[in-house]
Amino acid sequence: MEAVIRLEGLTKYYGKVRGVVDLDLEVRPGEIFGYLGPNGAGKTTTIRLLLDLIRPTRGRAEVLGLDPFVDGPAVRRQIGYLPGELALWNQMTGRQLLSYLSHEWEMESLAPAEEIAERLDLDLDRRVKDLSRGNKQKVGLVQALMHSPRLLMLDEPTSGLDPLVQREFYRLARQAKEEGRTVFLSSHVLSEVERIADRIGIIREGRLVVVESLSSLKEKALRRIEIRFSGPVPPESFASLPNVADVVVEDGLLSCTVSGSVDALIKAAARFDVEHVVTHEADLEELFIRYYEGIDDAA
Amino acid sequence: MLRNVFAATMWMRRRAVAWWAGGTFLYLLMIGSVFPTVRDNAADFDKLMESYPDFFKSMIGMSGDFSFGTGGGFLQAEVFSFLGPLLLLIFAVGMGAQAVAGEEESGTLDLLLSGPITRRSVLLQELGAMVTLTTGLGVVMFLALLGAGRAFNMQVAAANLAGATLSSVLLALVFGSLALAVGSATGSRGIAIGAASALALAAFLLSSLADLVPSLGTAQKYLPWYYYGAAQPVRNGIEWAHAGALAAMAVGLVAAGDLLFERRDVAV
Repeated sequence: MEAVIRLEGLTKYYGKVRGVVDLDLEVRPGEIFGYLGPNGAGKTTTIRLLLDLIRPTRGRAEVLGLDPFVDGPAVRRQIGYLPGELALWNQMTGRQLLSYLSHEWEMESLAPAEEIAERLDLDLDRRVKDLSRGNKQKVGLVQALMHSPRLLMLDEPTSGLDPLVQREFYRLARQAKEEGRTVFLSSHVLSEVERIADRIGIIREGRLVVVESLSSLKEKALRRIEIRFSGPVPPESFASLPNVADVVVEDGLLSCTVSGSVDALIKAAARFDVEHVVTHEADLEELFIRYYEGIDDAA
Repeated sequence: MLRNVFAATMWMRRRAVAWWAGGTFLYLLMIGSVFPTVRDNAADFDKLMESYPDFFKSMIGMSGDFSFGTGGGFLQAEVFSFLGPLLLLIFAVGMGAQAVAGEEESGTLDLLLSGPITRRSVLLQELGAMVTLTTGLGVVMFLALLGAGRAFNMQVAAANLAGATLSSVLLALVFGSLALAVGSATGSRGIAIGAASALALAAFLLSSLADLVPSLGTAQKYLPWYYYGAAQPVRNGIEWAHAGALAAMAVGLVAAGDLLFERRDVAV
């Protein structure tokens, strides 16, 4: 299957300032790709490169089979973009603004935009300058989605949205995926991409440090496990098990963290009389912070 | 209404344009209303002007059989020597600087260019809006002067007025294009306005000096003010070669701006 986005050694320096370095990446058709990284890591730089708003220092990029630096308009015709720092024409109403952009997209009617606006509960007759931050963000979302692009590039899409609208946004993103569109979603918060992304890439200081499916990342993530025994157990039985760390044994209660398979722990515990087992949700957050900080043993 | 960048720019400028047009119209009528007084005392005015330094006389375009007593001389000195073109120039420079750099500084250029449009198309449509609105303001200027001419009996041919106004519009567009080009190249509205106004002023002073300093005579032929003012179209009718030179300068500046805009990064 042809990749929707393919980057080969894509590098951007602003003068001497690092933007992104040697990005190699493939985003597959129909997936939601979460692009995670702390602020300033190069997420926005990557997206703006692919829109030909900025020019690469070296390396190649292919978007929907075309070179964005050569066939810019043809590539962008199929992309819906929500900027991270959204700026709108303040003196227009929402409807005027969407109508203006709909002409650029050569849309025949504004009906698709109105439908999305309705789903997001957005009043299109108010002037943009009178809208709250969240409502402006909704205008941004509508313009990104309204022309049914094959690829959505969303830079921090839910910032400023209240939780209810965030949920509606996730529904829209999933719907886009069901319709076969590809979503490239940048964010600095894990919980955002965790909900909807199929795969994620983590970028740190301009470099991609890991690209993996969410499920295999979760396997690597730390999982907190507590086991209640009917009587005291010897701590040394659990001291050096593979994948197991932070072991604390107090009376009959063992607590520890596990990354990856819990097999060794369960087999060790089975030698004693187990009353119950509590496993907590995999702590991806912890894993991400390790990637963010560049701790090499994160994987 | 907001069908494209051209239309949207016109629409966003609608209020400013209305104010500019109204202000220009009233201001020129007011200047025109002074003419009868000046004409009746023309000998005194001319004598007074004679005593002024040559630089000043050159600046307001007094030469040959100049007299305040004729409508042509009056308008040359009061409107077309400096103020008329200056009004249009300020307007055009403002629009030129706003065109790319203004949109970029407010962040909306990102949204515009993320769609299926080329940078060149945005630049040319913005240019179109600048040319259209500056010309529109020129028409208002022409009508105001035509009205004032009739009302206060200036006896200036409409063709000469039209020629002088057209020259003013073209001069304004040269500096508007300069602002547009600098804005397109740098993305900074401040630099665009600064560069265009500083160069306009410097060129004006240099051209005024050039009449007095022979060695500057050739140099000034590289400056737009020469092609604007040397022929004094309000007194002598338009010099088409000079109008063409102004248009060519504007086109050259826009082409340079396009080239530089095409190559650079757009700021967030």
